[in-house]
Amino acid sequence: MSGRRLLLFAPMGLLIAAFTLSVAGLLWSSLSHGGPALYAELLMDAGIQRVLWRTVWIAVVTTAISALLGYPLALFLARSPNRNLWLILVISPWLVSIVVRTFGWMVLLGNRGVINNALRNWGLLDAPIRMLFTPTAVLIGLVHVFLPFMVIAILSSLLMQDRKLEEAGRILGGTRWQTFTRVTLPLSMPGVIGGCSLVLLMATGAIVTPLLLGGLRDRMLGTQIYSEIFQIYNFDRATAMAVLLLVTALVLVAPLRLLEARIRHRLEGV
Amino acid sequence: MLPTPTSGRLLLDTVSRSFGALKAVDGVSLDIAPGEFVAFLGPSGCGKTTLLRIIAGFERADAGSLILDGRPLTGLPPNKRDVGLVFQNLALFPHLTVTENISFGLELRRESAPEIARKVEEAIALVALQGLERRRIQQLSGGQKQRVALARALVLHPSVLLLDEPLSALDLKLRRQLQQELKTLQRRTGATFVFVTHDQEEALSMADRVAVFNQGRLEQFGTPQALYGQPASRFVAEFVGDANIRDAAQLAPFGITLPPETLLVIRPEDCAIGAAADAAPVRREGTVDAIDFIGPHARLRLILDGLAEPWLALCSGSAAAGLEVGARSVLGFDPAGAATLKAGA
Ligand SMILES: Nc1ncnc2c1ncn2[C@@H]1O[C@H](COP(=O)(O)OP(=O)(O)OP(=O)(O)O)[C@@H](O)[C@H]1O
Ligand SMILES: [Mg+2]
Repeated sequence: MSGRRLLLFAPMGLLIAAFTLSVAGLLWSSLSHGGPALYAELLMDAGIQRVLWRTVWIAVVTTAISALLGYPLALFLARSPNRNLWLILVISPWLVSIVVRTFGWMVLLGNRGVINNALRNWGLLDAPIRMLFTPTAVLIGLVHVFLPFMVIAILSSLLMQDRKLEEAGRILGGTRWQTFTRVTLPLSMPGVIGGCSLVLLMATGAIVTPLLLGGLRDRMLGTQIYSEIFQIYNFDRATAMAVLLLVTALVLVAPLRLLEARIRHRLEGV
Repeated sequence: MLPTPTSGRLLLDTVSRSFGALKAVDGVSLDIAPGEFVAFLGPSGCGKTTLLRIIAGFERADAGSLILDGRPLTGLPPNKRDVGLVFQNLALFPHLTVTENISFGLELRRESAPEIARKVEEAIALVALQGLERRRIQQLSGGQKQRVALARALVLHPSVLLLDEPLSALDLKLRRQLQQELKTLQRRTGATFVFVTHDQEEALSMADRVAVFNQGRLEQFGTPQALYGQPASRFVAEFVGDANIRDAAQLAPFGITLPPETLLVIRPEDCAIGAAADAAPVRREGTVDAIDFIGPHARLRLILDGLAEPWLALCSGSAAAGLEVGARSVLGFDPAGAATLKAGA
């Protein structure tokens, strides 16, 4: 690499170095303070096991729902002549702080929230349905936050597709649906998998949404770490949990990355 | 024995399509016979692709009707038309192998696996792709991709196969080879071929009949000989081969009298040069303005004495031997053998 190229790489390199160092520091401090015993204790803790399991299933379900909702939306955007206008709507949530958005859901979902009040006023309910501080609320909040990422990942791969390929599917006798399942969908899989990796990663580490919408009972790893640091001041345990979070995220995302690499290789040739 | 084509009669009746103020296809009527090889010829932007897409069902016609083997096509989606299409950029499926691309349509028809395998094998043999069955599309050369696209369309035995400039991306040698192969394929399958091109040589050498388009309108539909020998308009005369197109005033110095509003189309190869011109009924002296030796032929541009418009002549290299720019020579032709045109047509 020539000196100039190295210079271009420098900001990125600094970021990578800082990140690697912080992860290494994390590992080192957890091992030097608590050692393996800390991890063993953590993994044996039934409470932590529940949190870990909840983190995994909420992240996976959030990803699945985002993909199911995001695909039609991305397809609609890709086909719409006013794509840019719609796109602004899709990413507009990014203009509002995540805390504010999550408070919005609290107002909607609370026992005296907008939805429960409306249902009661229409006489559809006697007692409020408990929505806030449930996993459902967390799922709704997470999907809302991460959906735009999914849409954009899928959209970009749809827009790269040659529309003539769909026409080829049609002229070869395919109905719209057959052409979608055999041409459009398989060719957009890199985008879908990319979006899923992204959402899965972010959902696994989510803090604000599960904290505000899940409450104290339905914690995820992110919230658990948060309270370990700010409420219990147990930094060693928090550190070990952070490592646990990192490993969980990697284990979840690794197969997706492998799959995406294989599909890209198939699509783009040698 | 070649199959006698029974299906593939395509009738277009005053088909039109506008994009805003632009008339991309303007009242086109065509009657294409079963098993015919037809070329759509015209300059870029004259509406060839649009017309093809209307036939395929990807574009609707604003007016007019299309009938394939007695079946009106209006309102039928592309998958119900029994029409094949080879796209200009081929549009092969990058996620499938050669075999999978070719079997795509057969699988949609839910044919049995052995039947599909048999037909695919047949199609692969037809386009000489044996040995490449398991390749991915990205691992093929341009000519091989071309053949996959053809096989993918032909394996379904469509009544009409539309081809949108399928050879335009290939180099000249491969192009000539595939032109021959296409012609043979068409005869062997007996399908009607509609072949779009803006290369007049390609159109004239391959097609049974050529439809010449200009600005969305059909200028002429006829055999290559008819197009060349009796062009219906000045546009056709100029687009199909080179021509000296002259009106009455420009021909008066030769002693030729033309009816008013008539043009004479004199092909360069009908012009004799030098000693050969002695036998021609009319001739005139002039100066060589440009000369090009192309293989065994020489293409000349002459400024004839007292005439402003330069004349084009094509003669054998030996007839042009010794000529150079600035040399004096004689150009002669037979007005009786030249085609006439109505001025303004
Ligand atoms: N979807 C469209 N919207 C607007 N104008 C269009 C559309 N499709 C084609 N046109 C216009 O219609 C005219 C005919 O286009 P078409 O693609 O049929 O030409 P063509 O004869 O195939 O040209 P080429 O030889 O360059 O492929 C062009 O002027 C083109 O710009
Ligand atoms: Mg075209």
